[in-house]
Amino acid sequence: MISDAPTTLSELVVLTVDSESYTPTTVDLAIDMAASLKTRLQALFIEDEELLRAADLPFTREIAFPSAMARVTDANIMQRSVQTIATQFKQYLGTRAQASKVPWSYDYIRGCSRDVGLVGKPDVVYTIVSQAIYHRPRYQYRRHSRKLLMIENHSPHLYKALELIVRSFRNDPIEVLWIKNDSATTEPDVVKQYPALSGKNNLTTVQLEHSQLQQVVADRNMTFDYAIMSRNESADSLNEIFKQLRCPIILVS
Amino acid sequence: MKDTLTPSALYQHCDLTQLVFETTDDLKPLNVPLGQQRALEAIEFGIDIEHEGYNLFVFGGSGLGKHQLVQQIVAERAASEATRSDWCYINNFDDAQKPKVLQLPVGMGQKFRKDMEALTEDLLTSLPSSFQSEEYRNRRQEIEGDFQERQEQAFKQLDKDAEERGIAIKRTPTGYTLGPVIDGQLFGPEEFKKLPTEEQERLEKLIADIQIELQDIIRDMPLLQREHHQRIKALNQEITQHTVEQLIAWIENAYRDNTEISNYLAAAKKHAIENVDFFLPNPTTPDVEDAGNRVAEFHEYRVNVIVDNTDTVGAPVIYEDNPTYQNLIGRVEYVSQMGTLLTDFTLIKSGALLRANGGYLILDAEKVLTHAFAWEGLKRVLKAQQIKIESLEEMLSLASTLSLEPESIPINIKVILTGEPTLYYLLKEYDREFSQLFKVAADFSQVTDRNTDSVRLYARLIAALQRRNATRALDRESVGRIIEHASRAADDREKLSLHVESLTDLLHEADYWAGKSKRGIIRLEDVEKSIEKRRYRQDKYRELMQEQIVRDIKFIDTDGETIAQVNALSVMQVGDYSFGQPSRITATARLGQSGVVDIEREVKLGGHLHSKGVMILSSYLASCFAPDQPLPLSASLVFEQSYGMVDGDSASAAELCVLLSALGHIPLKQSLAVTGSINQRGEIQAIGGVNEKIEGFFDICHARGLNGQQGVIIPTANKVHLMLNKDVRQAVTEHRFSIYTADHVNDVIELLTGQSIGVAEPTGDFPENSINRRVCDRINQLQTLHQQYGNHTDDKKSGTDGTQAI
Repeated sequence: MISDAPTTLSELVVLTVDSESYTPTTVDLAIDMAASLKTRLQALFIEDEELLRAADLPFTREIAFPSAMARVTDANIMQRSVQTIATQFKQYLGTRAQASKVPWSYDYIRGCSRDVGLVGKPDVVYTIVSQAIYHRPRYQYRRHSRKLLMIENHSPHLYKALELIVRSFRNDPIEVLWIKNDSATTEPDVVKQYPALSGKNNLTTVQLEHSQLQQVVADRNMTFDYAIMSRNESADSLNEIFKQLRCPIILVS
Repeated sequence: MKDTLTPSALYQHCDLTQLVFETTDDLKPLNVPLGQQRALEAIEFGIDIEHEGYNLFVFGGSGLGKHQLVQQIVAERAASEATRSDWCYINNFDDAQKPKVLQLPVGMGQKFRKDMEALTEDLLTSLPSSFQSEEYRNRRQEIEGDFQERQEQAFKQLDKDAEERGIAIKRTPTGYTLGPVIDGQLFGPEEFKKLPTEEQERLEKLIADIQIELQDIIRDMPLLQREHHQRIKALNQEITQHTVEQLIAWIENAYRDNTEISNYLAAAKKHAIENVDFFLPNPTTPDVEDAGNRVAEFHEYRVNVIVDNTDTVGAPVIYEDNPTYQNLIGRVEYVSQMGTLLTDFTLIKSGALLRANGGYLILDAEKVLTHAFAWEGLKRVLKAQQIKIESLEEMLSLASTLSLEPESIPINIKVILTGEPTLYYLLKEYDREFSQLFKVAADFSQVTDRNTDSVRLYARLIAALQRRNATRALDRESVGRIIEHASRAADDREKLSLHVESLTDLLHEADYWAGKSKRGIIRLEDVEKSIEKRRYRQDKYRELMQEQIVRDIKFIDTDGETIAQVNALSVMQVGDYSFGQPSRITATARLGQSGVVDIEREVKLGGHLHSKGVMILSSYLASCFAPDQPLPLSASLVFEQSYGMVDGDSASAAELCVLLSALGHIPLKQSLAVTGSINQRGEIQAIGGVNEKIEGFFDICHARGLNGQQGVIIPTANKVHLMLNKDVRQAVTEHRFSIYTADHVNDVIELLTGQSIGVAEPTGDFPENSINRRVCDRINQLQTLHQQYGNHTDDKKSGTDGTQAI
């Protein structure tokens, strides 16, 4: 483990990234969260073992983007490429963390990003699991209208995460797909729950029942910039969400 | 004929009865130039005539008031003429290297510049607002959304199809890869090898097929992006066009009568629509409030008013004091940016020719000629009748920096050069184009006749200068004294100097002395003191020279008689101050064939005019005393103790006399000094600086003590030039000093020797003991000796040592 962080802070924000899903924007969000909560940031770069395994198949080709050229690859070539991305990630992370005075640590491990992200620890407040957003260039991750998936569970950390994300979108139009908690008896009052949103003209909210979650997640035409949910969701539900969604997921403890 | 002058002949007093006023305040100032009728007429003609090439060259000595008079006349004329145009350079939207020119009515240049600045500010404010409007955001969002949908949909569909067929698409650091999946897990090589061969081949083929589909999708991305970009661009242009048309309408309406401006605005509108990004705030200065500051960055829409005649009344009159090429023609300036020199049309600067377009440009010819390429540039403009502003470096191909080719500007201008006469005649002689371009010459006179009318006008001129320079008024006597001084300055009792600058200086100085004496008006003594003090301030060198003579360091005798030695007179010039001083000329004469040798010439200290004088006297000597025989004479003449150049022929009479003295062994009076040139007939001709010469010899004699025998012999023709100072006049009145005039060299030698020249008798012989007889006898003696030596006597071969001085 590489770290220049003081270890006295008990709470953590964890960011898991692999070569497929790394974008600077996700790093920015993780830094902002850690800075806001005054916690440490633990960054995990996952060397995707599936990817390396697939690269070793005799007929595997890498289709370059945007040239569309097919080239022969193998596990070694792929690993070197992954390590290059990991280096870029670490450099960017270090620069941003230093600027925001956020204590941080960095680990390079082999595994599956989703699996690592799902492993919960008691001192972790947020786990940001970076997942690839479809085919957008890594460094131009931006679109005019923002879309968030929010699965309600009344956690103050959930609202804090929403606040940080909305702030990062500045004046862009934001649509929040709000999945109500099963136990909720009344309609959630977003503005009441989150007063900072009251002045946001660019924010629209669509509220859905929790039973509609699976349908939303399975809809391949539905793409999100971020999904915010509680770690308390059922394991099956989380697995399905992780499998289906192609966007960074913020798991709130 | 020789004559002794009376005191009245030495000075022309001003007749104060001609001056009917108490002080110059009583006089009507003279507002027309005195004695410059010819020049005045030429200037008026030159200004009036409108044909090409009729520019003026006004010439005359410095200090005559040429420039002031020209400015006065031109300003009066220009005031009655219509003000011309404003000139602007504007951007050429088709080719920025070739800025276009606009000719606008007076005042419109600045108005148009401000209107364009306002338009730019409007665009900078309104265009970003348009792009932040709900309409724009929604429409852009539609396009962006559609693009993203189409982009992502293709991948999603393929992803779904692949997944259904058991293939996963994985993103790699530089692209995508595909692999077979079972139970959500990608196959590794080991698992894959365990599959049946048919299954392996099927999966391999399946992956290859999906791979081709993936490549097709990726290849379509640039086309999709291009379409997206074009749709965004079209939207931007649509929004921009609407906004720009709204904003530009008022300015188009305001200038709809001006075709050139209308064309320019159409081009500007098109440019703004096509380059809307320029107007959108950049990330570092996003505030709309910053628009005012950003206007300065928009050079494309600026108007460079290079000639603004808003405050000009009548036609422009420009005097360019520093007529360099750039100051005349104009220049293209550069700014340094990151070590590179950049320029655009806003950095075009006008020159004097352009500012004077439609009017008058006054230039000092000498300054134009002494500044590199200024004269050539001026001629080129006058010939072409248009100005093409280009940097000198570019014109000479000295710099390879990218520069501008501004559109040429037609000119209609009258150029008036002022300068010295020498300059005019040199240009006339050596510059062929000069005569074609400066067809009118205005020649300023240095002097004017002195008569009753001109004296009265001169008094009015003094009154005009007194008022212009705000000095005290002058009383009648002081004006009279200034008029006398003007005659002295003209070196002619019958003329008046028109040197306005000197006259003005004299007024200033007299005013100063009147002030020192606490007088309300300038009196005679103030003028006298001014003249005296001015002389004193400049007199140090003269005093030093005089001291050398008085202390017998430089040999000048002022009494007694000496053979082959005479006092000649010369004038020294130190700055603008001149004074006379005597010079001793000696001669030798002996048997020989060299003729008269001018030692000054031999050592290259004699000028051409002096040599000419010596040759004339040699010719006179030969024709007078040996018309039918050879003159076996070797004589030499020298200015003793002279170590500088000697020029002029004013000493030729003295040189002939000293030569005759040497030949005839006749003593010459050292109490007299001689000045005058001779011709081949022995007649004495007028010389210059007669007053200074007389005063120079007088000062030496006076310092040593006047004995009544001393005096100066001058040509009779110089009588009209006499304006001698009071000391000389006083001494002549008291018979302590004399001024003689002579018409012929015979008169001069008689005065110098006190002997008769001797008129030839019918036999051809001169009377006994006459000067001519003694000279003739000596020449006969030389001829006899020459015959005795015969051909054996070769003066050149025997050299100096073998001959005897006579």
